[in-house]
Amino acid sequence: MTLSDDDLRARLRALDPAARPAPARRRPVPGGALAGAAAALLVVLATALAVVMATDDAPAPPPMALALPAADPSTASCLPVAPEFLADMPVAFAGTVVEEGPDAVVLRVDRWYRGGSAPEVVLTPAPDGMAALIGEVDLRPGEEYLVTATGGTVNACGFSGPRTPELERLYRQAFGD
Amino acid sequence: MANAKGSGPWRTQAGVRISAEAERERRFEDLVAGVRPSLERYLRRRLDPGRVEDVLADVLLVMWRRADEVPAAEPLPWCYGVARGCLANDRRGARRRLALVARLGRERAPVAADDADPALGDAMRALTAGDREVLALWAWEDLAPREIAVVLGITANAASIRLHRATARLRDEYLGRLGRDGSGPAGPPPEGARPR
Repeated sequence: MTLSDDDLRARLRALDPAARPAPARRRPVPGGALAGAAAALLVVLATALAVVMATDDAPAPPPMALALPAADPSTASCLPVAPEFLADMPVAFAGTVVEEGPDAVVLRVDRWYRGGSAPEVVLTPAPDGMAALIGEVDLRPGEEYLVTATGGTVNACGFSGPRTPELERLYRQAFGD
Repeated sequence: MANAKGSGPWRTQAGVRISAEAERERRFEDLVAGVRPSLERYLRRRLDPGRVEDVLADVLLVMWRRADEVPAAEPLPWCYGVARGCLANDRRGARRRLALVARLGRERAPVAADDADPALGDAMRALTAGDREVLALWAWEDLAPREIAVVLGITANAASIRLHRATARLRDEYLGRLGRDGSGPAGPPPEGARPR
């Protein structure tokens, strides 16, 4: 087969990491600062995130205090996600964002890979702590995500993200079908 | 980033005449409003998300210092060139950081969202960083060779040649992969996939 420059360019555009539907990409944030973006983004902070595993038929356990595995700048770069690293994660699930607010994002769990059975997971940003921002996952209502957590802390940087076939394949390799 | 002097010294007592400094600031704000979304996308394509805001701030600072050099007609390629320099600075820092965790693996490859077309993502990764940079400027920033030349600080002719060679190499790598595994996005049937 042949492939024209235009065709090659179009296919490359499909790989554009910054290509997202423009209207929903990011909600306006006064001042444009990341610090104000908690309502629209789950920003993974180095210091803490609280995850509440809630169930419909039992009282929700108290919020769990969470911390990222390492908060120092040496981990500020994302590393390639490999199944063997994923397999170490004690908590992993596929979920759909059903509610999004300034203080919490609620995911309905579509599938638990490991570490839980609750029908919903509530992610809440820590009240403070901008010590080391190591990644962010743009959580949008109605969209599906794959999420891992260690020690109760969501892992960003490729270990959690939108439910793409590629990430799902890695999850299946790591946690089994 | 903007001048923090508020309603300060550039106004006369009557508050009417705006000094050259304020005029420069106004022009700069217009410039930033025009190019900032593109610069942010440029950085998001090449950086860990957590670094984008920091490096963007560096870019805007350099642009402010060099505001008099910005080509009025086509500022964006010039601004990409500034961003490219800031990105290189950041990566030098990142390499130092990464050295501490090198045992965990390689630095993230620059093609991050290739699940739509794994063969093309693999093909990109098989190229040199120089080829990938030219191809990304061409396809993602949507630049023409003469604009790529401004970003890279080379002649338009050299940019054309580099782009031509990079597309040829990418095409070879890509079609070779499609030919081997028959996989493609919405793609060419395996039997039709042949390296040229």
